[in-house]
Amino acid sequence: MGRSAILLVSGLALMFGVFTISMNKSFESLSSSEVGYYNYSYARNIARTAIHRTLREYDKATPTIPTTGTFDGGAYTIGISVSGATGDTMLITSVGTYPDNSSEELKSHYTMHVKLLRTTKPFPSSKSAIGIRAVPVTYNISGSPQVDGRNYDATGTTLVGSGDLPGVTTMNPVDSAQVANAGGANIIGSPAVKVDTSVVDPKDFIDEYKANADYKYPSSGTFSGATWGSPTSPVITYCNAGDNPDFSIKFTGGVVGYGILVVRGDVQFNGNLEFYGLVIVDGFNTTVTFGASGTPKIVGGVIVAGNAGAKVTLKGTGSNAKIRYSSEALARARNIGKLRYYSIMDWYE
Amino acid sequence: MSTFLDIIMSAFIFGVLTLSLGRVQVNMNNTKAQNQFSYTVQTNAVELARLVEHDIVKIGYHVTGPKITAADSSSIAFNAALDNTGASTPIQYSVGAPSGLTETSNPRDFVLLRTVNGNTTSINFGLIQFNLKYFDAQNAIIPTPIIGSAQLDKIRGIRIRFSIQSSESVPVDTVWESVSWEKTILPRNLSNLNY
Repeated sequence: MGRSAILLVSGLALMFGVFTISMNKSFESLSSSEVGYYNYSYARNIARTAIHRTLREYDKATPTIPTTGTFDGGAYTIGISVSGATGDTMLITSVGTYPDNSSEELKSHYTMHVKLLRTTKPFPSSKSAIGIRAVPVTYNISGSPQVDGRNYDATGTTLVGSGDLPGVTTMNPVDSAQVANAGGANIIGSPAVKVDTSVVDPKDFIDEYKANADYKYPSSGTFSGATWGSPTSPVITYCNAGDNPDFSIKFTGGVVGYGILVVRGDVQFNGNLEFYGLVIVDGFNTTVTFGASGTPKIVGGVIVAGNAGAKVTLKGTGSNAKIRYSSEALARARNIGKLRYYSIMDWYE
Repeated sequence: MSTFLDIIMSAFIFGVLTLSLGRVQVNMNNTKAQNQFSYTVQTNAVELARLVEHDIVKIGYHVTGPKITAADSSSIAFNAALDNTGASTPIQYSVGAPSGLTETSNPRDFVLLRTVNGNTTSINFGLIQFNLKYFDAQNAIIPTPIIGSAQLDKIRGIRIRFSIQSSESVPVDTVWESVSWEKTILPRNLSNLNY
């Protein structure tokens, strides 16, 4: 009886042992399968994240875009080549690996081959040196400051020889006559003054520019000694003086900017301010004043919008133009990285 | 008399012990079988998910004509270059009838038919549900069946849901091991998706 009991218990123990080993193996295989799928999904997410990250670096005009990186326990490698007549077609190969710190047989790799077309968002391009989208407008000029609608290069120093536009456009003939009378020979262009009701309302763009601004001046005041971007890396600058006409923003000496300058409210440009790109002034009773002192200048285009009663005042004794139209400076502003997007031409994963 | 009682009691205890062991054996076998079926359905679900994802994300890749040519609640036909080397080929997913799968004792399972360039593969992963929903650019569901190229061209996203069940139940007709999987895929090559 005792021997039988020992045999019975031994058999039972053996049976449980085999059962436990079998179950453990099964669980192990299942875990391996599910972890494999998890790693595969994570590698795919990392490959996609790598593309996002690379495009944002590209938008920021980062001199050397990283081709490898790590992210949340995984790693990626990126290959980029640019083709197309204007260099706007991008071929990106992204390989995501997860987990990064385990042996090769446990890693999952996921590869994406992507072809993108880099394009620009709609842009409120100016069709003149100064486009006024407000009725009525008061245009004052004193001294001999010029508004020049001829097409200059991005530096505002050399005439391109083609693509000349009007110096000033207004919304109706009455305002056009008033501007032409006030400006006289100081407004140059083809023609000097013109009625153009198609000037784009910048309000549709201001929210986006505000959200993406690199430099913000949230309240009225006098500002000097600032550099906004560079010729190769233009930026967005947003100034908000408020809708109250009693307040204004004033820029004085040492201000150089490239890209898009948005002013919500009244603005006064003084000193030796230089801006290359698009200037949008929009507000309650919009007033744009170029002071007599210094040599403030804008190369690109200006859009003045707002409610009735917009005022543009140019003062100065020098012979240099205060505002010069430049399609090249506007094109650079249009191509600010933050304002670009990518259309998918091909996507293989 | 005492010896006789000892024998009777020993035989009784032996019987009880044997019956208990038998019961334990049956339970262990059931657990082991359930575990095996659970492992199988989960593995099948992972494999099927990877297969479906592999194909669906490529819809429209290197396609110049129609990208999705048919779309219903349990079938889809589309064009794609699956191997990134050449021209696109027609691909179709559809399901077989439940009665067509006689090898299993599960009355609800059916095969998934994957046809690539005219070659059909019958995949028996124990599917009991294979459902497709289609979304337009506003993320609104497009009712199925989707008929006509104008409607088919509106498809921007596809939600795939499937359930897999074990081929046998353990104990018999009691427990069917099941796994469900669902994912919405936005094939990047479907029209003007921006990045």
